[in-house]
Amino acid sequence: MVTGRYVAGRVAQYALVLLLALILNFIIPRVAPGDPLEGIVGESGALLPVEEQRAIITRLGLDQPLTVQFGRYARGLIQGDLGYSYNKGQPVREVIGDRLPFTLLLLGPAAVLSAVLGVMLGMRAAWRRGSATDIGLLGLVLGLDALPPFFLGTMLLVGFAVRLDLFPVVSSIPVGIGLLSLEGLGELVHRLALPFATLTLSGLGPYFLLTRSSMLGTLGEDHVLMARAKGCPAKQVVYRHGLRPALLPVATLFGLSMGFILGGSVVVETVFSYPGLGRLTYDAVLARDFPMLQGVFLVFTIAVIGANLLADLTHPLLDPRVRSAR
Amino acid sequence: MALLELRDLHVSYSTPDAEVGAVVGVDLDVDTGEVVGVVGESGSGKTTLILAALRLVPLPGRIVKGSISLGGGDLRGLSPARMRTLRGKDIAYVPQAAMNSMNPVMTVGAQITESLDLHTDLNGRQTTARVAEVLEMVELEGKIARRYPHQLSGGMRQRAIIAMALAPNPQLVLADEPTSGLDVLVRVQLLRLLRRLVDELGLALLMVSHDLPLVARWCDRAVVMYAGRIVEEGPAPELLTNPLHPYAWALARSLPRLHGEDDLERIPGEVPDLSRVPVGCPFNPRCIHAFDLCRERAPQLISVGGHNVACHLHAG
Repeated sequence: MVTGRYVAGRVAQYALVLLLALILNFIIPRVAPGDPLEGIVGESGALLPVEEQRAIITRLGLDQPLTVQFGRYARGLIQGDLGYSYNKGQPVREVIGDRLPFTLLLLGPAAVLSAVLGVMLGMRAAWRRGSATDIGLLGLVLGLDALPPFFLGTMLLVGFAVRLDLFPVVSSIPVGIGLLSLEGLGELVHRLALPFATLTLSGLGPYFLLTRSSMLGTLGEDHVLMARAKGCPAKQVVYRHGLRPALLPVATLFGLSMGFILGGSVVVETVFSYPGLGRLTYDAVLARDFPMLQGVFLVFTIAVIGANLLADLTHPLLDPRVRSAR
Repeated sequence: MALLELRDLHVSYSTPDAEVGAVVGVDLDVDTGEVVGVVGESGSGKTTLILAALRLVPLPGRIVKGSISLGGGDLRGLSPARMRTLRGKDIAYVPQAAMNSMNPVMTVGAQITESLDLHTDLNGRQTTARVAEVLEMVELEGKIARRYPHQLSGGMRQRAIIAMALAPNPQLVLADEPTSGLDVLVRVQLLRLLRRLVDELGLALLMVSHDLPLVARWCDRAVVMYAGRIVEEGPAPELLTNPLHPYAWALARSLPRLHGEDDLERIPGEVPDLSRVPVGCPFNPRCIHAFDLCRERAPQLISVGGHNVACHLHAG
């Protein structure tokens, strides 16, 4: 049984990880090269009178010792205040709140589809091991996996948007798009198609490879021979006796790959000019916008830790052996 | 006519270098109510024989020649779909105890239910009742149905597998070393159980083992295999006490005894590489009685004093 105690233990463990991540979150932008002043007033920042430079620094609290800055950051977090973007001139929470839905709209389905597609293809390849299908898929997926997302995205953009003119080059969503109407939805799908395809294709590789090898393992196990000797039809052998036990590591991979897909989103959203968190991150990095970066990283951190927690909590549901080991 | 009849069965594994004959010209009958034990060393083709009867010989192996019939019906000519409906329903398989032959993520009850769903028309309630019934038949508690395989001991797991095999009421059970890897007491309990089930349910059991005394004690008839061929066949207890073939004789002599001399007699040499079986009698390089004929011509099975034996010593 998945006991309350098990869940509580896991959640506590992940809460600790989150805390450590928050500290890192605070430190990383500050040790990274570059000066926030440059981001705020541009390259000419150095030309400002020293007093004015100092005034800006003081206003933003950047002259305080790091401990004090961290204290302020932590206090703000607890109150739900993520700070004020140097660059956008808006509270970080508001900016993130505006962008988050777009990213969820793009990443959620892409994460799920790459997992489902990867698992299904991996299963097919394992079942037909050594066949043309297996070798073809293996080559194709390894090739896709070797392409960096920005390159894949650019190629799709050049091919389908520029040459064939099937999709828009810029995937930004118009403000007045009526999502409740059929045309509005169609327009949305049309605009999302390329970045969605890029993220899905570039996320699929690990699922394919893991499912394939995990399933080759289970298909060679004794209980699969037993299932066939029992008279199970091929489909039942593959799904129930082959795939089902092979899915355990895949659940873990889902948690792990959340980080990759978020990292991919930074690049892909930038390539497609999509107004999500990834693009925001890219802009914030260029502008040395510390509070913005911290805010975005916070969301990413929560997403990655959340996905891993979810994978951890589903594990005992998938594997009775994990359940009783507690 | 026997329930299971194998006639001139040949099973080979194709490797890039050679065609390896794992089962060569085997004739074997198993009748209802009968327990037949097949004895041989590793690599003698015992397991392949069982898998061939289920038509589940793994690639690159295949049945090359011969016939398999069950209750008079030919199995080799059946379509794969028809063969599948026979597996589990008419011919049950009991794998080695040492193997992990239960799905680790399904409860015992779910796995027995799966067999019943495949092969019977029972409704939900009847299925649950049948699961409880077969568990009781193998002397397991009903609550085992809710357990997962890893929560059971080796002996309990093997009982659960027997329950699963017997649930759809098969006529024939093929058991591949059903008790290897279990400790002696559990082994005896399981064999007693199998014997009782065969007698009570009127099953036919073909059991493969490398343990000659076990076969002699629990089976009606014993078959000794060597290099994929049957070398001797006869009433089980007699085969241990009065073997005719030099190999069977050597096997019986190589057993540890509680009393008597400490040194075990070994069979010199080793099991031949199945891709390079010696010309003539396959046992001739290891046989202390071998003479010229043994190195020239393979002996045929002939009937000698209630046994069938393939040895030139006993011919004419």
